[in-house]
Amino acid sequence: MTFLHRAVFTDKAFPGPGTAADFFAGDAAMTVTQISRASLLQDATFGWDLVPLPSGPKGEYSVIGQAGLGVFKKSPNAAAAADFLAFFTNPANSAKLAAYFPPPRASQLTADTLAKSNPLLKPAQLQQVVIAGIEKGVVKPNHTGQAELSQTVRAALDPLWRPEADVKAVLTGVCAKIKPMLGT
Amino acid sequence: MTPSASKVAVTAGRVQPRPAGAGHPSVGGRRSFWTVRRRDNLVGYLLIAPQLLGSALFVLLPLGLVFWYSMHEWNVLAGTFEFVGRENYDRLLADANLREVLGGTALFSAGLVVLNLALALVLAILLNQRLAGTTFFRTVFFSPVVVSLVAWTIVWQFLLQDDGGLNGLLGVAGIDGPNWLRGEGTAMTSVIVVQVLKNVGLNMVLFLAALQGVPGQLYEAAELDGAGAWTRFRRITVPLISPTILLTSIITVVGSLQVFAQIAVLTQGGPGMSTTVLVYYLYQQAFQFHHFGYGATLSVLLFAIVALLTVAQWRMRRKWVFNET
Repeated sequence: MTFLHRAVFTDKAFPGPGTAADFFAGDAAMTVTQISRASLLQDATFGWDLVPLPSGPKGEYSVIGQAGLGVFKKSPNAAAAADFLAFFTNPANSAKLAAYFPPPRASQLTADTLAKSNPLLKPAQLQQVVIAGIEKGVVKPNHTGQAELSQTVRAALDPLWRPEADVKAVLTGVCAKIKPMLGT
Repeated sequence: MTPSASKVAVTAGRVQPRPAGAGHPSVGGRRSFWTVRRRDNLVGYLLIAPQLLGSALFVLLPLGLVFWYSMHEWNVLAGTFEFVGRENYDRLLADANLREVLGGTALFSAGLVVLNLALALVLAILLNQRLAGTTFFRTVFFSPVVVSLVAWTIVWQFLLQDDGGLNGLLGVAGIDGPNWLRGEGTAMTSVIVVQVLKNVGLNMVLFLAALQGVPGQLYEAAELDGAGAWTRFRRITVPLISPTILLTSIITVVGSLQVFAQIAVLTQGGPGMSTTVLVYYLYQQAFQFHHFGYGATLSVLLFAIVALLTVAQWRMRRKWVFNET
């Protein structure tokens, strides 16, 4: 967080919060985003590449993504929903879905499949960044009140986005705010 | 049927059998059930039935349901709906965020109402002068009222961001402008100003209409008596347009408590919780955190606040609205 704060306010390397710097319009040097957005680079007037996140002092880093198809266990029609999910993700339908999202079946999660729906990206790039990233990724448990948790963190982090902010104090404040939620 | 014709017919209907072909004649000397009054009443009820039905279905029923929901814990994802009695109300009283939310709501409403009414009145007075270009300026100030609220707000979001148009303009003058929507002190002010500029035209037009209804000879007489501009405004203009001041203040207060889209687009309630007004908090609780029961409880609170303020304004009218007794 100290690194982020310094990057925004001291080095001016990152756009500050509340500032729109659009990578696809050529306003920023780097962005972390979904691969489908590469289609926006069709008419880009600058050179670009898709690369894995650089390693940091404590090893490789990744981002936390969220995507999934699920069934609510407590729903009154959980069995019917599970049947529908099985139908939705069977090999034939999963292949159709792959035109829009990374497919849910491991057998179809290949660079070739993704390349079909992302013509601007080379299979080698997709393999190195996306496929390898998903293979190495871990599934993290989600909090049942994730939205409330995120909102509380966001609100408690807001004091960080000032040049004179005390990063450590702000983060201590964030912990104090979310502690009661994490306990439940 | 005109009211006077109706009265005559009612009187006749009470004492005399109605002429044949004009309704239900009495049988064997007994009075028909369908007197003209009852028939008129029925026609009246039938005429208001669509509106009444619509209001009942889409206003009164949901209002009642909100009270009902507020006594339940409702999880739409899990499909559970459990009666919890006053639990949500206890939670309301113990909610640590509520004080800040109500404070923010009061600040927004007070800022919006004062700024909106003052600016609308000043603009109306200026544009009530017989000068060249007034029609053009009336159109300019009214046009934001008909612009889509979200479009208006998104454009302002771009103008107010750190490297946006407003700071660009300030930069030309050598001023380093703040990050308007991210600063604790400037975010609420920015939201209020964006909302005032959006809706000031509506109150301006209402004030303009009221000002044009003030007889010119009153000003002439006051001027002959030696009254200055401020005295004329205070003693003639304000009393005579006070019914419009009451109307616009009620509309603006109620509208200010319902603000949502501007907050959702401009600040999402931040920085911190400084612009989280009651409706936005309610939205977060119900639609983001899925606490629908508690969301309904916050709606009941909002309803109570709006009702109280409206009743208070309505009662106060006797004290300061001219020709109200």
